[in-house]
Amino acid sequence: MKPRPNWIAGGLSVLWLGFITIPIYAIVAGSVATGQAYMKGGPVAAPASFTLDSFVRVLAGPFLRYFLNTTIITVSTVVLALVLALPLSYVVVRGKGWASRGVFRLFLFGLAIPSQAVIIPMFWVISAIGLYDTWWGVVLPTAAFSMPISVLILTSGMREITNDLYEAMALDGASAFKTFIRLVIPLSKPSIATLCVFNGLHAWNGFLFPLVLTQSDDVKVVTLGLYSFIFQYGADFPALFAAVILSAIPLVLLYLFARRALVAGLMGVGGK
Amino acid sequence: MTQKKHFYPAALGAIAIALSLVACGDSDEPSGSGTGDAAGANDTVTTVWRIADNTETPVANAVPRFNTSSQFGQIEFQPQVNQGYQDKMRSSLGGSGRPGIYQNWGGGNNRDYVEAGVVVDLAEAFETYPELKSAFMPSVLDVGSWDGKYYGIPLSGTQPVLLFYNKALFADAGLEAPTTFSELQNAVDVFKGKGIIPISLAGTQAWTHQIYWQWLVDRVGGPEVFQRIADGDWSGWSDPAVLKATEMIADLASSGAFGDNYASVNYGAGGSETLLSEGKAAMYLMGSWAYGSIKGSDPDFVANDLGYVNPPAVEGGKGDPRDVAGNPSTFFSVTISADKDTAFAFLNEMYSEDYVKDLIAQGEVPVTMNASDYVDQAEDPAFLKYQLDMVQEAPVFQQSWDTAIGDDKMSPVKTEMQRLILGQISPTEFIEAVLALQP
Amino acid sequence: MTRKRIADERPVHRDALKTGRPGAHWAVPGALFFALFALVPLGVVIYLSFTTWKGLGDPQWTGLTSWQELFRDRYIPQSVWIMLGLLVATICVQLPVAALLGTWAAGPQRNRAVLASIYFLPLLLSTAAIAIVWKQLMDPNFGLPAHLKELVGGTGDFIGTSHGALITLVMVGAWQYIPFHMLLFQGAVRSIPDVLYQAAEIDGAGRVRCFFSITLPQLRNTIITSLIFMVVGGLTGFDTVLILTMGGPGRDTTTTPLLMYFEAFRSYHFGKGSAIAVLLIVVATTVSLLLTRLSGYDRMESTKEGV
Repeated sequence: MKPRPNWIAGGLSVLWLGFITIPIYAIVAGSVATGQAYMKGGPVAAPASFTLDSFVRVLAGPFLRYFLNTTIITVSTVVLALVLALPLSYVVVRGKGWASRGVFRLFLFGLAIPSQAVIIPMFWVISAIGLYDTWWGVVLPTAAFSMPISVLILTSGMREITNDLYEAMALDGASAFKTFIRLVIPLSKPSIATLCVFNGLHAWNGFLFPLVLTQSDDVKVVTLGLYSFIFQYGADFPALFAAVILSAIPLVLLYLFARRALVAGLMGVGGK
Repeated sequence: MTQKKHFYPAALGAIAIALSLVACGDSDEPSGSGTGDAAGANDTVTTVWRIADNTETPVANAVPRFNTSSQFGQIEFQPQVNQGYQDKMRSSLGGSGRPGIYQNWGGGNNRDYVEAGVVVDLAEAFETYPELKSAFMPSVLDVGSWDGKYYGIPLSGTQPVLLFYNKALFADAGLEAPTTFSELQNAVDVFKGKGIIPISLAGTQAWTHQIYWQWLVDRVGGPEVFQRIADGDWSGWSDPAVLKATEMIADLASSGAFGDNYASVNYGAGGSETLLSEGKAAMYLMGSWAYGSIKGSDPDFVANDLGYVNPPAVEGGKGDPRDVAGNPSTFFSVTISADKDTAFAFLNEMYSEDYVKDLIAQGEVPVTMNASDYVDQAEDPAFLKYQLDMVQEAPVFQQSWDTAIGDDKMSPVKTEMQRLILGQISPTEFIEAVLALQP
Repeated sequence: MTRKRIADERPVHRDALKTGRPGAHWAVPGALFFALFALVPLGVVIYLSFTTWKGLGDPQWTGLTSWQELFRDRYIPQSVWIMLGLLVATICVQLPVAALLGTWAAGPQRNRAVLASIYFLPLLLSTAAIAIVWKQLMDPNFGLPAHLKELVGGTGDFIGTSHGALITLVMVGAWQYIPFHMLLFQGAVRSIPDVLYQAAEIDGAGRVRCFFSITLPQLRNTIITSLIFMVVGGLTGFDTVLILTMGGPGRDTTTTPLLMYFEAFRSYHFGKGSAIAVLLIVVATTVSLLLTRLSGYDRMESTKEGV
């Protein structure tokens, strides 16, 4: 594009910056304030005190363990959803006959099942197969609920792969599997990147499934840990905010490190 | 494009790693791995659920104390986050994953579990430990009972509702703490004239509104009015006392008693409590827990200017002004999954000196008969004594309505209460709407 | 089209093409998995909608009772309208802002990269924490309204009013999710070939004209992808509403998922709660079918394949 400065865009971007930073300021300032100072000043006051006490309190608990659990559950969920949704979407786009049509309809139907609606039956299913209070007990339902959107996004991307490319693969004598690995997956890169972000955030933020399907500290996740700073009649705001920051720091670092790759991965999302 | 071809195997590899990690997670499964180091111990582990919060210390301390000297099995404390605790009880108590001992609020909220046959009748525990029954205030113990059988042992302090007020503001205005409803109305007018919010109300929550009905229906019509509803007669809502109380509340609201922006006020610190401690509001009708919470954010205010009284009487009302409303206590109930010997022995700890002292140390008022022996050791003995006297002198301790009849029935009623104070519905419309909610 | 016809004339290619297609068995693991962990529980929910059940013991078969209650309950249609209204408002706010910000962030300037990183931050915080901090921020006496009322007057009563609560929900949703959609648009704009803009520049087209006649049409698929994420999130999400407004004031922000949650887990009417869940799935499926139909996402095969 042209190099001349875009004042309107610049102005809007600063406005947006303000909107984004106010709550972030409240979280950061709140986490290093003493409980008393935070309550007196309110969430947007200028910092009046500084203490790292809340971080110490959070780290004294099993927070790192929760963090590890969340990471494992998130990565497993993302990988599992992709591993299952990729071949499925391939069938939907390239398969023949009623199977591919039916499968797609099935997943369209599943797009909007609210997880809180199925939580009790889910508890039965997970208990029945002996996965209550395990990582898999959270990963499997979370991944299952990520399947419909994954299939929808993947198929939309795969449909944009032109027939020439399939023909070229066919001319090389490539099997369905080889075509899948060599052609379909590489060209689905933007969809895969999108889903890694979306499903990852979904799993990272999950509350209801871990709440009901796990019990012991060994498998507890960060979201549950955050809620342990919210009481029946109040909350420990500095500790809560400190925990929020601690749980976000690794993600921020990951983002800063992988930002270029992420944006590049997202190039041409949904095909062009 | 070629370097991407290993994606699929790599993904499978990741799954394999995740699987092996899960296997590790399974290996240190807590249950069934009794240590057996105490004399005569059996190898059972009984889990205890209690809400995780800043008042969990007495239980957290009692568990290791119990375990080292247990003649039976071991206890494992599993603190639960407050958010979703009720959901979790619903899905877990019915089947596998059921805890051995769980915290509940007694009353109607626990009745479903008793009816489902998963809660153990404590008659046997009282036989083994005769003192267990006589150690607690009978009126409180009764809240954990149903049909003449006892299902819960109090584990926490009592929490009566008080009218908190800002002494400095009252002194400035030349007022005393209101003892009658008309004095309260007068105070409302005076503070409104001074540009101070008369009563701090957290309008963003439904349950904060319920407190006004608990107080006024009792003062106007006596405890029988709500008792009838609690006993299962939903038409009790049509009692004239309920309408009268509702009209009084509607009058308070329309006269500006709650200020002009209460509907947006958050509950607790940074919201309704801070209004009181910062001198922006003069009064606050709330459970006794507010004391500790305000102290946490403003100790100077609590030390100098925080006053508290039993909520005012209503002139000509049938209710005894000494009646108290609030949370009598919370209870530990034993499920059929527990090792009974262990569970009963653990419940027998709930009135031990160590436990009672721990409760007092964090500002709670124990409901044990020996509570007054230790009250002087509290950080705020005056406040604890005031509550203890209030509860002991009260002819009736009215359990918070949502726990008394069960939140399942009360939840939509609380929404209607919120709508009434907001002015979305009139008092007669309120009664109609509530009657229509008949379960 | 032409290529396909040529291919058809050459039998050797048709055979080769056949070998390149996946059999239905490729779909079996994913479909089975989804069936076990999503459809089986869903089937139970449908069954429960014909029962009366308090969540404990055995459900009692009571036929259409729950459904009759559902159709009598005037709060249910209200909740559907609130949900759809919030969804439309969310789309109207998030889509244009995300598209503009994404386009802006796709530029090569260094300061944009830095700002875009800051814009991204909300996405990394947990939903619960976001709702809690916004709740604090909206307090009329200690939060943002307290500071605003000094400037513009008023009482600061915003989240406690029906419109204010709805606007707050849309705003918080925008704060949390625009970064995600912005990221999608940023990636998509980057992949628009420069030659298109160079050609437009030669034609003398300005920045605004370029945006509307090149960028926007090229973003069509991204817009649809974004829309789908918004619709799915808007129709199932309830965490933010639960923490931020609890469905209030009164019932003015009680969406259908929240109402379902209240019926099932507050009132323990699992029968009626399940019926609401089924209704919600019907509404949501209708909306997503409409969306996929309109956008052409429900095509079974690639248009480029010419079948």
